[in-house]
Amino acid sequence: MRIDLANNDDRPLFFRLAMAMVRRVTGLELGPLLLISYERRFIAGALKRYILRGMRGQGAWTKGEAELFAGFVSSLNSCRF
Amino acid sequence: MLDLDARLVEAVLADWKSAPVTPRLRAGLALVEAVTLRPAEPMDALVVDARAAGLDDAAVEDAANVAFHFNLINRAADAFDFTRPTARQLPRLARLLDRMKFMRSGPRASPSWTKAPDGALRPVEVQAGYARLLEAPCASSPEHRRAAEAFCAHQRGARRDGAVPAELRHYLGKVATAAHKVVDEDVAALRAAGWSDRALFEVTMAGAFGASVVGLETLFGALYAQGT
Repeated sequence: MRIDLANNDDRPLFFRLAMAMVRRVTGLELGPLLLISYERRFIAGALKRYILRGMRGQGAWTKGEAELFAGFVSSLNSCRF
Repeated sequence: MLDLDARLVEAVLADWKSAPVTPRLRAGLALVEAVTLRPAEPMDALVVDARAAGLDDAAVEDAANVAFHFNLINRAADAFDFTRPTARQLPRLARLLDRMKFMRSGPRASPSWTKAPDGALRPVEVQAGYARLLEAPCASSPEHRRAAEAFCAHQRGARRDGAVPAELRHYLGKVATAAHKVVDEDVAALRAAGWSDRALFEVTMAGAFGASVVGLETLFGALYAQGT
């Protein structure tokens, strides 16, 4: 990762626990989790819930359809992630 | 992909217009493509087509929400060079995230949209996020974040524009339109110019937000402008 997002004491406790669990189970520093859990005053609760709705496909589309949309967007953006 | 055939996914990624998908899914893909590639172009005809294919407003919104989210995440992931999960890590990661109950999103706001002071129609949660993302006392100045948001939105066709510091223009231009082209040297140059990692994170997120929100604004305008 190009910048240091992992060392951040302002991150809410439950996100620190979640990331520790992800790190333990997969060995990963999961970028999107680091991103949405950056300081509470920066990423508001409402926006976080909104982002999660997009990320998890909790809405009018099935999880598979939402993942297809996600993969489609990443392909259009030539995203390397 | 959890409940779609892998070959179907490949067909969509290769050419979504000819892929054997339902009219409903094709209409969703058309919305996602427009929000991603042509965010400032009128979307009224797309909304008409989507409704004809059986999509209600919630389905149109949700397709756009996924597009917004991944336009944002893609930009951050490429700008910051997120570590990619391996094929072996992915299933374990998906199972783990599924178990995390607090990661759920909660109910949709009703009404789902609001008219912002600048006249744009945005999802309620996105508008709520603007205030903190751009104005909260953080490592970077609100002035820089506001400028980054508007600068990147402009790069994607929005009318608003922002005067970002000269050393940020090249980097934020990439974040807005070709984040996969960001390289280590871009970030190193900004660090050398005095930008801390935290400040860089914040202006990058503000810029990625501005670049990603333009398509949402256009689509919500097409959906709801007549009701304002």
